[in-house]
Order: sequence, then structure tokens, then C-alpha cells
Amino acid sequence: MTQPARLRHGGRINRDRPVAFTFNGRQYLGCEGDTLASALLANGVHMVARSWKYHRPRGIVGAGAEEPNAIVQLGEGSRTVPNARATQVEIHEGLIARSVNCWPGLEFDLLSLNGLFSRLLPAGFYYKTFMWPKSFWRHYEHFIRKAAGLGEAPTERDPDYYEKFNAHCDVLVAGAGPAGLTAALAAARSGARVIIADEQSEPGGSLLHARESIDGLPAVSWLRRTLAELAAIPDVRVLARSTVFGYHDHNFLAIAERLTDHLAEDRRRGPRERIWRVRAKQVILATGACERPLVFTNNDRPGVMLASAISIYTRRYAVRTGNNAVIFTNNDSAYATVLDLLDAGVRVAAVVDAREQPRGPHLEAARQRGINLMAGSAIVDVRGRRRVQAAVVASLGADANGLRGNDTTVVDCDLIGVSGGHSPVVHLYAQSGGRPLFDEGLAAFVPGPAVQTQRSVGGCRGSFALADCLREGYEAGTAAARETGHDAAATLPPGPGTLERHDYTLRPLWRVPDPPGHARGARQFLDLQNDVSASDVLLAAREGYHSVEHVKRYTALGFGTDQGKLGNINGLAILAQALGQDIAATGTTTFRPNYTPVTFGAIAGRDLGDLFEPIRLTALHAWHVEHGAEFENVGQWKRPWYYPKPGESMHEAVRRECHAARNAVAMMDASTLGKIDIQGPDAAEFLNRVYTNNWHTLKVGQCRYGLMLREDGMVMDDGVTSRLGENHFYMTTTTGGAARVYAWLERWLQTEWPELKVYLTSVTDHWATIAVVGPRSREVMKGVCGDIDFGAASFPFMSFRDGTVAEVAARVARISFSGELAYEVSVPADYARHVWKALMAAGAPHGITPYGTEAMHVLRAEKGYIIVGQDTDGSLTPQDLGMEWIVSKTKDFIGRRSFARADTARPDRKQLVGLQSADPALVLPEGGQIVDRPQWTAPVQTTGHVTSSYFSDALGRPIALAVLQSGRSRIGQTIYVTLGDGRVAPATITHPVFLDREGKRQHG
Amino acid sequence: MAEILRSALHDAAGGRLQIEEIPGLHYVSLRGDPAAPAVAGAVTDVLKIALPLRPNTLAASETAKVFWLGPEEWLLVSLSQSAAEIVSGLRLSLGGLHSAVTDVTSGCTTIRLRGAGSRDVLAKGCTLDLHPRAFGDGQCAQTLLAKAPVLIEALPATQDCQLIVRRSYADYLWHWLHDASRWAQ
Repeated sequence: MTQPARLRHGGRINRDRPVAFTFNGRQYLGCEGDTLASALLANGVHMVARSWKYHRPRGIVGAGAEEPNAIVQLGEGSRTVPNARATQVEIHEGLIARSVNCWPGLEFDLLSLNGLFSRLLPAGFYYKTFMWPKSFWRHYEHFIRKAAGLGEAPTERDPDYYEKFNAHCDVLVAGAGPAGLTAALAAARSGARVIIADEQSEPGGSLLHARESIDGLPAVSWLRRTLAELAAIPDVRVLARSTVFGYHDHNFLAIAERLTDHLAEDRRRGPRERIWRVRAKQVILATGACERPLVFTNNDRPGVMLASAISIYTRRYAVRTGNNAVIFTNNDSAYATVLDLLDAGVRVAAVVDAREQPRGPHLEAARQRGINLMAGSAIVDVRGRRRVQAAVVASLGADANGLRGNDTTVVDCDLIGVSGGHSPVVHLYAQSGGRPLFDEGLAAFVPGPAVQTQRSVGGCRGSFALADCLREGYEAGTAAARETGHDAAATLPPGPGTLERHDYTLRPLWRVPDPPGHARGARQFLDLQNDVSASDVLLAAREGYHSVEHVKRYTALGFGTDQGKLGNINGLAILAQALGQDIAATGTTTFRPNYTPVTFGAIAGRDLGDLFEPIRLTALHAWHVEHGAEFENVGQWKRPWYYPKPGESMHEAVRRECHAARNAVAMMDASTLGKIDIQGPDAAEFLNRVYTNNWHTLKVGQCRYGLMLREDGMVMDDGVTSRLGENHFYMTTTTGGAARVYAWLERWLQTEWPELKVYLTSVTDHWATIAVVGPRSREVMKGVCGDIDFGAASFPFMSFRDGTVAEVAARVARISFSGELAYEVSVPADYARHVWKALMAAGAPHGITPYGTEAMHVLRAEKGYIIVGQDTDGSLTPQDLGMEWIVSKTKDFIGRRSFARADTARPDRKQLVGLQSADPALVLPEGGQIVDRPQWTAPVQTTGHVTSSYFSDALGRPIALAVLQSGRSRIGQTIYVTLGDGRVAPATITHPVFLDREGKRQHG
Repeated sequence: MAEILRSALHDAAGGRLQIEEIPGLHYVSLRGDPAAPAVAGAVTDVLKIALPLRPNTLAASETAKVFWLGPEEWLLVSLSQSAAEIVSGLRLSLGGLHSAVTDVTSGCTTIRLRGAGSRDVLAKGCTLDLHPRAFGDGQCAQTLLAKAPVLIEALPATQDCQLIVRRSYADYLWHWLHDASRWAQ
């Protein structure tokens, strides 16, 4: 085996399955089951990064999400992942990883010179140094970005599949350590639907390296038995590699499950990641606790690790993290690490305990094995640069703020394990809306009262003893299940057997006194990723920063990928000390989602490409595709835009289509119009209230155009409504406004006018509508319909007839959005293709031409017909549009009251006008702003803008519609349309109707 | 004659999960006052089904189903009777009572999912709890599946489900279902 620091026995790695991987360009071998961090340590690699600011050598510190240093870029090309924590990356064959924070390389780092100039880079150095002169920022920024490193996002398209899954459960358990497992077990035995998620490669948490036995079984055996029991219970889901990263209102939690990243690329199948969107009736947080580092000079040297991480590497990964260790602690838990090291054959040179009279069960066990215990002491300095070489130990004074004399002892070592106590992982609790409270006894923030239906158990509640975790979990699981109506477990024997309990005794030690002759707090690192030291926090306090949120931003403490999981509590305790206030009053910074970074791929899921937004299709879509249509998006619909013939440009196709409509016959798929069936004795009264014009006078068989306003009097929709019967109407709305109008009408019926007897039914999808347009349209209709009299007088404009078109029962309306003689044929959509083809065949002798939305726009613009949402923007009244004729003065309707406002009567409101470009070849740009003078300098007051602009085939020149202040009184004047490139184009203001102002053609 | 939207037996995942369209059904919207005996009476007359009055439930016979959509709104789906027959039958039975009977046959289609993974596929795009404990026999729900409005029906005693979707969304939903079931069990 080529892994020099791999233990011969033990661990949960598979020695028979070597795994080759690459780190910083070098090949290594690890074992199946290793993380990148454990595999590197097994190869004797401690130094894995350079720090952000000073580029000091940094080593692996932790074994989980808290890791600040071992931040790596994984893979290459489109699958590269920035800022992964090596402690959470499972190695697989072919894994490629490199440190993110070293330029040009880890071993030889030019920027480590920064370390020599660290006095120039104090807290707030961004603000102090780089903000002046302001114009230099971009030069500074370039340098800082390069120096800061921290990963590169992939630049290629993500090739992987990510999905989301909505899940519901009675009890969601976050964390599958001892407390979480017994919680899930109790809830599951009760009959509740349970989801338990754990971020690690396998459930178990601390049980995976625990020394204790449970129910007479080694912890890992009990774990195996428990997982087997959970697996056998229906409606229990155990999610590994799944981080509960967000806890939102209404017990809505988000989990990121990583499905394939741990596999070699050729073994990956299925989604790469899955976001679980969980709605839980009850939540149990069992996220454990994070060991706190101790803050002493040069505590960032490679080889300084959390004591618990040493235990994890030793027992779970069978890695010898050093040969000669010193343990520095202020509580009993680190003595378990002492025992683990001794078991693994590692020499423990000394145990430095800050407590004057250390005690605890692990300590007693260690004492039996013979240890060099230095009580009431602290490590005040570390020797060695790229690897720890010795610890400098001194006696602590009575209040721990100073040393007892200047004597120091140098203890040679290559590994320092530290334990400054434990910080409950209260992140999810805080995200749920709770406020963590400071517990003086534990010297830690613990959850306060639950804000949602939630319980915290075990380490994340401040219960660090295994027995407490197991018991609390089981009780919480039972109680949570009971509250969801499941109490089957009440009759079962209680959960796991009890263990001997012990008190958690700890001597708070937030900042170790400086070694003799050192500056205060220098190189006593709090936030290793952001190179924030105690001296930075002390400086911030001196400079007047008192709020912990301000200090965070001034010093960058707790920024970065780890979000200060290790250093934040130490930092705010030091701040509190400096300010002379207690820690509770200082408070914590805000714990925000996400707990750990979540990839954009997972967040996007399948909301990509064609699935990003529904693509709604008409029943005629396939025909349009077969006939070469180009499509445009209208709301969610795909509508034919134009139908180019081979070699034809868009401009040519649209001219041809317009020409056919004006001179022969053309037809269009108008099926996307919103369609609402309105029935009831009060239907006419209802329409009278929602439209501006009078509907009582409409006779059965007739159609009428209506304009719908919001309460503020602004135009919101328009369309033609037909009276099918005395109490029966058929309304059409704009394509994009259909759903909104339907909801609007229902709202008024249900909330304001419940006395009206009216029922609405959406029939948008049921009916297909085909517009047959042009002077020859009557002949075409006669060819497909024998039972309607198409005589100009017997079937006049704005009326409809029921008949049979191509053997299909149809409704034919004589309405026009083009100003031409035109018919709209409506048939059930199942028959649309058949009827369309029959119309095409009947129209063939007349040169019938299918046309798209672009030609429709041109035809209607020639007539000055507005499109709501294009020519209007929610700020225009009917009067602004020159449509006073449609506004009744004798009845009430939605929006009417607003016309009494002075603002709607202003003479300088924007009004709809036409524009004629002075350049006969220039189609003015839609959206082009209008200015009154050809020469101007910004900022300039614009007086309107172009809303619609096309080349008119009928007129042989460009036309445009615009909204312009006082526009109607300015007809004949010249204005200037900005072209967006600094130039302007002169145009003459005209009447908005360019063609057939008398309407002769449509009445023909 | 009419060309229907699609009729496909789509085998999305190696025979385990089947997604198919059920074409040719007839759909009629009914709006009326549930307190008026004539409304329930009309449905019983024409379809031989008791009008469901509990929210989000349906009542079914061998050949037809009636879905509760709202306090005054139902969707009638028939395998055998044509929409025209149902519409005229209901209108005759309702007489002059204020109500709305509307043929929406061309506007709807039904997609059936069969297989143990059916509800898991829906869970990828639907926020409702579709577990049989929460969404069982005789229940239906109007909701969004991905971004398409759908009516979901739990089929009895299985994980199977049926979706009624508006015609214009059918193609999008079909592709979404195909995509979502790519890795389904």
C-alpha cells in the first residue's frame, strides 16, 4: 500500500478497492470510502491550500462542512465544481482536484509575500486602501480577484440532469447521527411518514467513529441494526448525501441530494442531484455540534486540527494524522481523541488542558493509559511553517486572560488536536425563525423556543453526551409522531439502552493570551478561510464597530464558503470581551440559507430549454410546422409569425401575406384568443359593468367590440363578444390576457357582485378559430358552407351565423381585425385541421395565403387598431387612444370613476398618433423614444415613444403608431425618434388610421 | 373527419411506467347551484351518477365520471355518451334553472400514468401530497403539474393516476412527463 499514513486495521474504508485520484497534478491512491481529505492525509498530505489574504500554508482542519481550508476545484470542463470541501468529497476513480487558493502553485506561492506585509492588510483594508482614488478600483479589483482565487465556475453548458421532488411527511429529521436516528426510529415505529436526511456518505454521524457501545453493541453494529429496521418500515425514506440546506416558513424545507458525484464518471447514471422540497408536519433537527477551535498564535499551521476530526480520521478512515501529537482542550471530549490516538499507536506527547482541575470520564480512561497532562495551561504559539513542529505551552493565569509568568515549555509534535468546546449547529433552527440563546454553562449558543412545529435534539441542542442524544431523539420522535396522530410506538419498549451520563465541564477560553513579546491577537486566526485574526476583531472594536453584523462585514469574518462555521462564535466572544459586554448581548450574526452551497444546476432543475415555460400549441400547430411557418412566442403560445417560401426573406413573406389579405384572400390561425362562455339572466348586465360600452342593446346574433378597464380607468383588455342567446354570450380576449381576464371576471362575480346570476366557462382550448380575410373571403366561405346566406345585407358586419363548414358545425362571425371583408370560423378544435384544409382548398382558386402574426400586425396597424400590451402599457385611457366613442356616459362600469380625476383630463397626456418617417425607407424602431428637437444632450425629456412600426405593403411606405404627449393636437408637426445610436430620425405626426378611414372595405 | 391530438402508448421507462393518452372521451362543464335539487337530479338522470358535493372528489360509473371542481362547478367525462347528448340531456332536465352546460370536449384530453412510479413522477412537478394516505380513491385535485394546469385523479388501489389537461398544454405536459420519467422506477 502506498498510503504511508494508512492504519493497518479498522476504519470504514475498503482496503481491497484502491482508488486513484489526482490532487494538484499529482497522482495518489486512496481507498473506497475515503473522502478527498482522508485520502490526502493517508498519503501524508496535510498542507492543501494557501490562505486568502496572506497566502499562508494551510492544512486540513476539520472533517465535514465546517472545513475552511481544504477548498478545492473538482474536475474539468463542463462538470467542474468550484469550492468543494475536500472533507465532503468522496473520492472516485479518476477524481481530479486542485487547491483553489494558490497562485501560481501550492508549493511556491508568490503571493505569500503578502504575509510579510500583513500590517498593510488589516481589517477593513478594502475600504481603507482600495477605495481611494475611486477610479483606481478597477485596477485593484483585478488584482484582488486574482489573489482571492476561490474557484472558477464552469463556462460550458452543464451536461447533467438535475431534478426536483416534492415530498410530504409527518416527521422530517435533519441529521442521521444518534439523536436523529432514534428520532426517526421512534416516529417510524409510531406509524408516521418519516424522511431522515444526512449530508454524509452514510448515515450515522458520530456513531461512525464513536468509542461507545449501545444496547451492548458496538456503535456501528447498533447503527447497522437501526438502519435495517428503518429500511423495513414502509413510508420511511433515509436520504444519504443529502443536506437539509434551507428551513423556510410553514415547515417547508429544502434538501440537496447528491446522487452521482461520488461515482467514477463512467458509472454515473440518472440525475446528478435532486432537490427535495419537503413540506413536513413536524421537524426534528438533529444536526449535531461543531467542535470549536481554540484561538492561539499560529493556530493556522498545517497539522493543527480539530480533535474530533482527528478521531474521525483515525477511527472512520483509518488514517494516522500524525506521529507525535499534542492535544489542547478546555473540556473532556478531546480525551476521547487521546484514546483514539493511543489505540492507533500514535504517541501523545502532552495533553494541554486549560482547566485547572480537569475531570471527565474520557480523561479518567486516558489517565489509566498514562498521559502527560498539563493542566491549567495553554498552547500560546506554534513552531513550524508548512507543518507543525512544536507547541509552545504556558501556564494560564487565574482568569485565563493572561499567563502565569513568562515561562514556556516547548513540546515537539507534528500534530495538534484542539477542542475549544462545541457549537451546536443551530443554523436550521435560526433559519426557521428562532433566536439562539447563549448558554453560559456550555459556553455556546443553543436553540431558544421553537417558532415552528420543530424540535432540536442532541448536539444541536447542546446535549453532547451520547446517552442524552439517543434519549432526546427517541422522545422527540415519539412526541412528533403523536402530534401527527401516530402513537403506535407508545406501546413498544423504549429505544436504545441508556449509557452512563456525565456532566459537560468546560473552561471558556475564547482567546489564548499572546505569547510573551507578541502583539495582541496577531496571527491568532479566527476565520481561516478569510484570514481574519483576533487582532482584526480587536481593531474593529477599537475603530468603533460594535454591532456583530458590522464587524463581520468590516473584517470579513464568516464570509466565504464555510460561512464561519468554525470561527464565528470565537470572534463574537472576543468582540464581546473587547466591548466589555456579555456574549448574549453581543449576539450572533444571522444564519441564512443555504447551510452549505447548492449548485445552480440543482436549483434550476428541469426548468430549462423547452421545459422552462409551457409551450402552448393550437390544434393547427402541426399544419403550420409542415408548411414552413416561423413561430413567435405570444404569451405561452407558439403562433405562426410568417410563412416564408423558399428563398424568401421575412420582409418579402410578410409583404406577400399582407398583399393577399388586401387584394385577394388570406387566412390565419386565431385560436389563441381567450374565449369565455358567459351564461345567465344577468349576463348582459355583467358585460355592461365590465366593458365601457352598452351591452343591453346588443341583439342576439350580433357581435360587439369591447374595451375592458381596470379600476384606475386604464385599458387592460379588449375583444369582440357575441350574443348567442338572450342569456348567453361568447367573449373573446387578447391571447396574452386570457387567464388574467377570466380570473378578473370571476373575482368581480364572486366578491363584488354575488347577486348577479352569471356563470363563466373557459372555452379557449375547445374552440379553434380561423380568420378568413380579404375581398375574396366571401367566395371562399361560400365554397365551404352551403347553409349560411353570405349576402352583404343578410349577413352584415359585426354579426354571426351558425352553420356547417366543411361538414362541421361551426360558428361564423363577420368581424375583422384587418379592416377587410373578413370572417372568423370557429369549430371545436378536434376538427380544426380538417376545416383549415377545406378552407385552403376552397381558397386555392382565389390564391388564398396563410398569414402569421407579423402580417396581422401590419394589417391592423394600417387601420390604427391597437394591440393591448403593445400600444398600451397600463397607463392609457380609452380617451388617450382616441376611443371616446366606446365609453358610455350614461352607465357605470369598472374604471369610470377614474375619468373624473384631474389627471385623466390633462391635455398633455400621451395620446395615440401615427408617425410617418421622413425617410421613406426607414422603419422606425419600436420603443424608440421621441424628442422634440433634432439636437439634444442627455438627459433629455422625451415626450413619447414608438409603439408599433412596420413597412406597409398597401401604402408602399413605413408606418408607425406612437404615444405622444398632446399628440392629437400636434398632427402635422415634426418630431424626432431616437435610433439608439445617438442619431435621430425625423417623422411627421399623423392620424393613427392610415388606410380606409371610412371603413368601406370591411363593410363591403 | 376530425383528427385527434395524439394517440400514443408511450412506454417511457422499460415497461415499468406507462404513460398513455386516452383519446375520444367527452367532456362537459356544468355550472349550477348545488343546493338546487334539479342540478344533482339532472346529472343522475343523464349519467346515472350522484353529483359529488365534497370538494376535490369525484363520482364514477362504468362509463362516466363527475369531478367536483368548485362549489358550483363540475366536469363531466363520458366514455360512451357524446357531449352533444349529455349537453342536451342536462339542459332538458335542468329546464329553465339558472345553470351553464358547456361542451368542452375539444379542449381537454386525458393522460394516464400506470406503474409503481407514477406518483413519484408527478411529485417532481406537483406540490400536492399524492401519497395514497393523503390522496386516495375518489379524490381529485386541480393543481399545477410543472407549469401546466391539470386535474389529477387518483386511480383506485394503485399508484396509477390520470390527468386531465387542457389541449394547448398537452404537448408540453407530454414532453415534461417523458422527461420526468426518464429515470423513473
